[in-house]
Amino acid sequence: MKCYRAFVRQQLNSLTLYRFEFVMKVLYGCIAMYGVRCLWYALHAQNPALLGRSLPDMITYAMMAMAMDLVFYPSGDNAVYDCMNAQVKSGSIDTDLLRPMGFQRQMLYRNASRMMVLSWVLVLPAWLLAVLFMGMQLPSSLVHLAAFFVSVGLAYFVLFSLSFLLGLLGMITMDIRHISWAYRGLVDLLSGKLVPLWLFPPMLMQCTNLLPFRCIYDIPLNIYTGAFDAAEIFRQLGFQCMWALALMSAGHLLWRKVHLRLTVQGG
Amino acid sequence: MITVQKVTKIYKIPKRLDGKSAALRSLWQRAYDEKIAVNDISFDIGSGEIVGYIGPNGAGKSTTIKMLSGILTPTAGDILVDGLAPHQQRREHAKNIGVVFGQKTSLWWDVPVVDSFRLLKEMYEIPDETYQENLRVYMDMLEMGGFLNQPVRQLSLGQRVKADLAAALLHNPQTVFLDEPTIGVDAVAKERLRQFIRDINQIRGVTVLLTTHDMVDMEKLVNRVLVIDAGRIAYDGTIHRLREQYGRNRRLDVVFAEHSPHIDVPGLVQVAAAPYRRSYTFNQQEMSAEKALGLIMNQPFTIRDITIQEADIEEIIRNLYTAKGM
Repeated sequence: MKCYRAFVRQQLNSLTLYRFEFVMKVLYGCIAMYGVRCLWYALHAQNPALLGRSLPDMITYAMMAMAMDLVFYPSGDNAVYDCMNAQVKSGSIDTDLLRPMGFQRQMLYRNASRMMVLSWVLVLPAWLLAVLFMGMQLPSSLVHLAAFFVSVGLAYFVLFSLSFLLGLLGMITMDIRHISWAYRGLVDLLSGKLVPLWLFPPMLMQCTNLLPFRCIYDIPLNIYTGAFDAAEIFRQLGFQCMWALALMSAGHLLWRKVHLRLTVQGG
Repeated sequence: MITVQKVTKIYKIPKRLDGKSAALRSLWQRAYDEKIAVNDISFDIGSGEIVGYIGPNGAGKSTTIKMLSGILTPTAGDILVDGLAPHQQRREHAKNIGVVFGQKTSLWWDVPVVDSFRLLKEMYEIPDETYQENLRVYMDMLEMGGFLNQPVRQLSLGQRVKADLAAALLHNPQTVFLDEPTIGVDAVAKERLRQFIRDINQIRGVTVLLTTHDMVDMEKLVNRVLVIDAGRIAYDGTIHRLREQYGRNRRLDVVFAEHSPHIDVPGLVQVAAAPYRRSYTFNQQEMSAEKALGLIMNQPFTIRDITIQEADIEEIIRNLYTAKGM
């Protein structure tokens, strides 16, 4: 844990150098939240029965999804697979392999500490502005709030593990650009980020219920908006735990195979 | 301490497929090129030794270092460093070694040097007293006080290498692998780095394996040299023996009183000429220094100065490469 704290301190020192960038990102988050708010207002005006939830719940779900997207969207240094791919191509992965830590754990610490710092400086202000000025609701109870935090943590593990597996795939194929586009599309669509899963056709909804993608947005957001009772919350957290464990283990095993055939570029 | 037994490393380099769905197809449709980077090499390095590892670009030096440090897995053969197999016991092994790649930093780019050190302290679980003591000693030896609080991206190359060296030694490793640590560094900083490497070897008893293209590093730091070419060990022995085998020519530099005299003496080969100077080489096994001097002194020209030098290490390595067809 001391080591993880050191990573968080490192990220804090590193990321706070770029203050203007954060102001712009919070602004972008607010615009995105306002955009989805307008969209769901318009759809509700067309046909109130279409949403399947009350309008305040719907806009809270959609705006919270945009707030989470500020840190979860895989771009630049947030994308674990892009970092891994760049490390292999530049040869800088060898410095990670010199450390007395597992590679997966090192990537997790680095990325998780970054996400944690970004949550403080991006999501928290955007969330606060949305609550104060855009009608975003607070969680229905303290239990829901606590469960939401646990669920977001598990969502992060699932997201990280999927990204890590994609990064390992990149180490094998040495090119993941096209696969990563497909991956981003899948996450956007099947996680409930853009369109809530309850609006999907029944067949597609049944598929998404089995896949790990809904762990990322759908479950935490439904907990936040109070759509689940206590029993359902436990069931859904269990579902997230199962996927997080399965994907982390898969990443661990695949990394051991990939390490055997790793080629580090450059002298 | 370090045992390398019949180690081979073959890189399987995936051939990139053409077309829009190339990345997807490459998952099941594979084509590889094979490159033998290291070919059946064996050597032992004793505790506290400082060994130079040299060879032309692409000879396999960095690949060997990466296998010794656990980054790469050998295709065949066995490596043991301090009783551990680096690629199988990578994490335990990492605590026993320090590695510096002169061409890239292992520190975090955006944060001050001292912040990187603090993170390494937690990663390597270095006790507070050891960390503080080492930081103090290395700051003093490497003159790092002026840039310890500067971000790595603002450091000069020499400062960056100093910081990397200190980082690699914070956890008191007993073995360090230095891959071209002085590359691109100015003469003053180079000398400071050499002194530091000598000190950690002599005072702390750290075993050092050093790759370099700088022959002054070799002459000033190491006694034993391993020369690798095309993945094979071409020479393993002392610098002294290397000099005897491949440094038979001595150099004779003469300064004349008059302009450009022409001297044609059997056994002396002219290698350089300037208006008042001539340089010759002669094979010391065929001609003694006394005889060479006598031949020059007997010429009908006034001589202002005359010096005889041993072959320098660069020439010796050149001779070795030529002799081995490298």
